[in-house]
Amino acid sequence: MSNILLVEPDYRAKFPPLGLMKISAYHKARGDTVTFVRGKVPEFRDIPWHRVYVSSLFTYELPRTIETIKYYSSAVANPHDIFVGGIAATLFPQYIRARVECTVVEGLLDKPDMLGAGTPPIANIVPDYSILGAVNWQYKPDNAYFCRATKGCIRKCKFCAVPKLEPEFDYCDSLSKQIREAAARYGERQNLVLLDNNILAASRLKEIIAEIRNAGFGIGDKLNGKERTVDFNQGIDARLISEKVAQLLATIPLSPVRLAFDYDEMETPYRQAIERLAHVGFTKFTNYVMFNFDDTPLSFYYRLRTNIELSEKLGVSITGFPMRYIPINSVKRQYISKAWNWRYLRGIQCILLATHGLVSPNPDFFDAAFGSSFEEFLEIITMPDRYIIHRNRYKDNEAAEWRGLYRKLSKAEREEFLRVLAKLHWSNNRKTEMLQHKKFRDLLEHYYPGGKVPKT
Amino acid sequence: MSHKPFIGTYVLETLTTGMYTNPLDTLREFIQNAADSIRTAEEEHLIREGAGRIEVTLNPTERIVKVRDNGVGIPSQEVANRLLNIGTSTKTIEKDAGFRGIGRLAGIAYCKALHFRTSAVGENTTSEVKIDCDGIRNTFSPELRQVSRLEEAIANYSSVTREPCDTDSHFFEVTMNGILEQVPIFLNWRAVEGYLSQVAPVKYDAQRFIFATKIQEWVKQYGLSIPTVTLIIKTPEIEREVFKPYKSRYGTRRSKGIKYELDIEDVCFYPEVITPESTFWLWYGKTQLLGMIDDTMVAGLRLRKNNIAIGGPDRVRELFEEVSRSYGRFNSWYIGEIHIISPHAIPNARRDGFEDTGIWPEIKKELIGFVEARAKEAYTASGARNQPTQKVITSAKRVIDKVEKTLAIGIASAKERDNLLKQVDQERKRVTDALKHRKNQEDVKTIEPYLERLNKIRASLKNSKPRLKKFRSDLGRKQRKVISEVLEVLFEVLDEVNFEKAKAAILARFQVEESKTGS
Repeated sequence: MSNILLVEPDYRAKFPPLGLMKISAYHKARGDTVTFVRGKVPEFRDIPWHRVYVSSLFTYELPRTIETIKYYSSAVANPHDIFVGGIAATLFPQYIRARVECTVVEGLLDKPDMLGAGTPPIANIVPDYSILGAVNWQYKPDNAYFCRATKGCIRKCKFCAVPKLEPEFDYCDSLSKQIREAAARYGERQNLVLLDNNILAASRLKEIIAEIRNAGFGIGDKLNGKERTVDFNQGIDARLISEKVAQLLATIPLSPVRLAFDYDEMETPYRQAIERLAHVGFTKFTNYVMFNFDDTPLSFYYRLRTNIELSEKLGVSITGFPMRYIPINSVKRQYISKAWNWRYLRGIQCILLATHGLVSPNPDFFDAAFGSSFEEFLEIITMPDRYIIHRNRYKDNEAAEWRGLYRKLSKAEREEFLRVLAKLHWSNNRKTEMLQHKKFRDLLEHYYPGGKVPKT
Repeated sequence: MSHKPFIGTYVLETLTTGMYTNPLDTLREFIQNAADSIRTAEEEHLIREGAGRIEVTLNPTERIVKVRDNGVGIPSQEVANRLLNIGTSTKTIEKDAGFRGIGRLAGIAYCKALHFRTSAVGENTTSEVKIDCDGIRNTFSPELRQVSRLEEAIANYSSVTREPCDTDSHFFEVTMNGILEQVPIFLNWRAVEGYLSQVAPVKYDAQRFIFATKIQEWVKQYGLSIPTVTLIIKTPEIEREVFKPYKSRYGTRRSKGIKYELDIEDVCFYPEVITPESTFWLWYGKTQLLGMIDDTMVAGLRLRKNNIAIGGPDRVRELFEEVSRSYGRFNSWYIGEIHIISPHAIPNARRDGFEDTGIWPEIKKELIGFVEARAKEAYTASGARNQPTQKVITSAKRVIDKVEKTLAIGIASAKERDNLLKQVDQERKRVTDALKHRKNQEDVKTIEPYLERLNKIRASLKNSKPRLKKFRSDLGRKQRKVISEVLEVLFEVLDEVNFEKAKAAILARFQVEESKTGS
């Protein structure tokens, strides 16, 4: 028997760490003891463990992940008893290897010997939901099965990490088996979350949907008096939604429906998919809208607006879920693509702050938050953070004054002003540097009153 | 007419708080009972050998400690007799670890209520005994004028109930409910794990202690084994198996400012072979004997019976002291375990030593002989001439490093230089002495280069002028001179450690970057 420590670095994680949960199930079945922890906890570092597993997620959290690995390295007899795996470790293993001695495991745990000689593949093991209660962290959703029917994807989109993480499109264990075993071991769960990258690409789609229905997730099925829902969390491929597929999907309580409107060229299939799905009765959509890749601010605004327009036209509710692109190998979050700039990205972040990242389909809300025209949109995202975040508090005085000054700037001056704002943001010597931009003095005062960063 | 004595509840105080030095000894008593019960279950083939499992569950929020085993359990007819009678254990002195029938009462002193639940195999009942510890403790609180009769108090404050369960289950579970405020240690899993790892009959951690297998195999060739159970400690946050704390590498305690690294190079056994007449066997770690081991969890040989600790390292320290009063310290130069296997050596009621009857005096005599040899080895190694090679070179290296560093940044004053020279000379003498007494060519080869280095560094020290180097180029001659003089003054008034600190701080400001990183 061995003492196993599972560590999730204390980055913001929404979903439970499924890899660690599978590793937990595997070790417990061997008779080992398993402890799960988030982040760096001194009392766990100061005692010996036979093996420590550290998960990784976003590449821009790799520095924190490295720190966590180093932190626990004294708790094992040999640094290679620390196993590091997960998404970021698969995307950028050399970044970890160059910085800390440990065992980096790349890819899915779907082959033998990945966790040491003689270990079985564990990708299909039922994750151990019981470890989640040990940490003071609320994963969401907290009462769902996390399963997947397929792995990989048939597309090779340039912006997506899936082709590297899961190069082959293939099937996993049957869903009925996954759900049955999880229920038997860890109790029934209210909802079902499917993490497939592109479930509609499955030629066995009909069977998969039938399995979902038969597992207690048909339309109107309830548990403890509450209706159950199914969430294809990674979204479904608009291009694959034929009328037949829409009808098939209508046999399960999908909530919300998730599509993606990542670039302009998707418009036709996107509109068609929503129309087909609305036609079979779906009303609630939460759709991913990527920006900061090859797109422009105009395209982004247009795509968000399309959702408002479609919602009204079809009598449905399409919530936008903007997704900011970060290159899959980036260890920082600051990436800015060609058509974007620092201030604009920051402005969008400020708008989304109050809405948990979502864009409501309510036209009044949309006009107020994102502007009723593209020009107004650009103006809003150029404003100082607090004027965006606390729209109502500032709109009649400070923001109005700011607008007056800003509107006087020529097109070229506005571009220059955006560059100045980005420079000042990263400046160590802001107060002095501000003096160099006399032309923008009054405007800059709105951003940094007295040369200081105001409270938001 | 014979008098019927009145036994008051004060006796319980002696049997609980009065009995054990460490509140956690209560857990040792529970674990010992659990281990005995598991042994029986193994003998009766209820579980296979090695499948015994004890779970210690701590819940700090609810203030509960639970110890559960999968041993034979107690049949329901016997529950009341076995759990509520005092000092009448059915166990045998020779075979079982616990035999007096008082250990489990220790819990009364530290919680509000003590519950025992158990079921024996083949019966479809679980019995539960509840003891109201608050109630019982009140009967012997000193404010109370009237003392109750012991039997009455126990009868009044306990209950026995039964409920159905399936026939196959066999377990014993003791729960301390409402751990009292004054003993928070019961709810501190690290303290509990640390304690149990030293005391409970658990396995060696073979991943950390590479000689674990060697010890087991050595014992096995004589048809013996080290009895172990799987002991799990659980809280809402953690789950760990408890292992003995031995590992293969340690540090020594700081002595004259130096801490040595210490490898366990091998394990040695005594006696060389175990015969049917042997009353004990022991292993100890072979090291370079560089000093006291800096880990209180393992330092010092310890006694065990049935693989459960009998007292701590102090028991063996006393044996070293019997050889010579000043040798007591040498016990902590060693790690190891003395397993008493004679059934005739009886642990005392506190379990911190053995009764001075039966075979113990004989064992003790033999142990003193063994300990004497260890003490002599350690004594020899601690003497200047016979210092272990690693100790000689560690010390020489330390002085060489220090002088090299100082030479790199410059010497503040003639006095500082003379002081360093003195240290180098001392070290040269130590190394020369050590070389003179070395017979092993290997050692000579290891040490010799250090003498050369010391000689070399002495020469450069002698030739160096007291002058600081690598001053920043913007400093004028006068400024440089002032800095040097300030350092000279500081050398006079500060002790070595503080002077080094001050010098480093001053030079960090006035020297060029590269020498800062270089030093």
